[in-house]
Amino acid sequence: MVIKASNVVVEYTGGLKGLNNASLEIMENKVTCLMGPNASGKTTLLRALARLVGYRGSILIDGREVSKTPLTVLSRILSYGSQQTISTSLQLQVREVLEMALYPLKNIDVEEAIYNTSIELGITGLLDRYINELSSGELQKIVIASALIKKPRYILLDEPDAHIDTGFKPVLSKTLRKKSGSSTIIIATHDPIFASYTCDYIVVLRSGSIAFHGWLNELMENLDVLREVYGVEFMVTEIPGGMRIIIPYY
Amino acid sequence: MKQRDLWLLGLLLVFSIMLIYDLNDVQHNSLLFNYRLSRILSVISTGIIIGLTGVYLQSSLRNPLVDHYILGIGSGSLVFTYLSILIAGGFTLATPLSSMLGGLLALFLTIILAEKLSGTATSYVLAGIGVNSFFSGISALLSYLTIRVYPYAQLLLVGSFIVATNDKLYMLSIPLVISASIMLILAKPLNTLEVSDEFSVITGFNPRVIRLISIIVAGLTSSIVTSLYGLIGFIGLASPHIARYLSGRSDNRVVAPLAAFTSSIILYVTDFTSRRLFAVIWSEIPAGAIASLIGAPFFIYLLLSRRRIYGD
Repeated sequence: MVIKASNVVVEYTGGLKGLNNASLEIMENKVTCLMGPNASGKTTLLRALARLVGYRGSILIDGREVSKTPLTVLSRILSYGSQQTISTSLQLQVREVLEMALYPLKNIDVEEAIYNTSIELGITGLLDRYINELSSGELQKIVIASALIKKPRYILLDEPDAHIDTGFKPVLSKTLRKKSGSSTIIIATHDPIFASYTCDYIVVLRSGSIAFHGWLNELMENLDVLREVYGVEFMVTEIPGGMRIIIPYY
Repeated sequence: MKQRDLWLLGLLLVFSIMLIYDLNDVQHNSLLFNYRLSRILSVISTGIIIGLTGVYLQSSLRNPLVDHYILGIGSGSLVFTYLSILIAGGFTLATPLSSMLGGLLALFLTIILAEKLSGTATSYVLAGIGVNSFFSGISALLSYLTIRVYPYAQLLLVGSFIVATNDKLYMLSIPLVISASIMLILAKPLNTLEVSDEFSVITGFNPRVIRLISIIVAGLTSSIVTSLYGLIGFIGLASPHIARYLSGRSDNRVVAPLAAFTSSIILYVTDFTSRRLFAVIWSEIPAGAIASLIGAPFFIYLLLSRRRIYGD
């Protein structure tokens, strides 16, 4: 286990609990998906792992307590991306933001790293555009690129499949699967179809607590969990090629 | 050669010609030469500090519409400058120290008000107008009292380098060195702060610390400038924008030195014009007045173009 969270509590001002005694373990070089309805604690858990929010309890990454790990150390091994991460009203070019994402690394060929990542995600046409002039979908691609570019050991992405078009979802899914060869990836998603394509391991959250955790095929055998937390029906279906995916119906 | 490079070259050329003309003019009179040199160095140092202040404030507050003048630092420090001169009976070492207190007080008042309004870029401008009006009113009143003990008191309201002496230049060198050296360290962290606080954390920096240091450095250094030469508005606002245009980048490692450079050239040109051109027709017009004359329309342009894009 490379990430071990024990009895994590995140409390917001006003006493609202974002996480309530959540404990879980994340496996190395796997894609773990956090699922659950709105306000179930997915984003809060990701933010706690990235030291973006204070917590009680313990979160160990590589045996080190996250809240006590210096930001300079954490920034070298971990990246986090959400639409809020890149939300400037200033005129910054995409290329400049990607360059900044590489600040934690030393002795790196910045141009080459930007070129490789933009080819991988098909965003070369966006590099000279201004961040504040991008559409939500284009911005999402930049958020993903900024998290992937430094090739960290841990990649945390909050709803990377939101806002992007259907054509880009397979690109993202394949990229994340490929990256899981060398990185441990944790993503929050609402989409069981995207999760079926992308994830190895699933964690389902409900009201800040862990309602389920297990391998994807274990969840497929246990759809009641999803039915219970989302309040809609789910089924497993086989698509051409023999792959099984979870889809909601209502 | 790009249009941007031509602009840069043009600025350099204008600066060089003026500088040669300025010094050549007084080369046979050592007294005048020393005064002129001291004045030119004061103007350039002030320009650098004001330009860097603009970069510190615009980057750390993620707001393209602010500088030390708009946020009320200038008028706040001026009130405390007058008070200090009145109490001590003249300009003393305590004057710049007291002005720093006033500058920071006004700055934090503006930030608290702006955050209470809505925290948007425009709310900072509105809060700044409120704080500025308040302190400007007091400083205008105090200027009449202060003039009895300090004859240049009213010049401070508009910013003038007529009082540029070597003593003041030495005092100016302290904020100049502090501002420039801290910018060397903070340029990269400030870049990440321009994206978002979260992004700054992810790239290994503490956004609150970076912002606090930037605001305090900007507040303190520009307050010292105000206590020495008075209010010089809009150059601090315009020069980072001009630097971004000239370099085609937002990286503060490029923008900060370029903003300092353009700011000092613009200020030098305004000072040159005020004592050469206008002095022939009327009498010497304070450089700050000319700076506002050029800068204010630029500010209105920024405000309008921003409204078109964001509608806030």
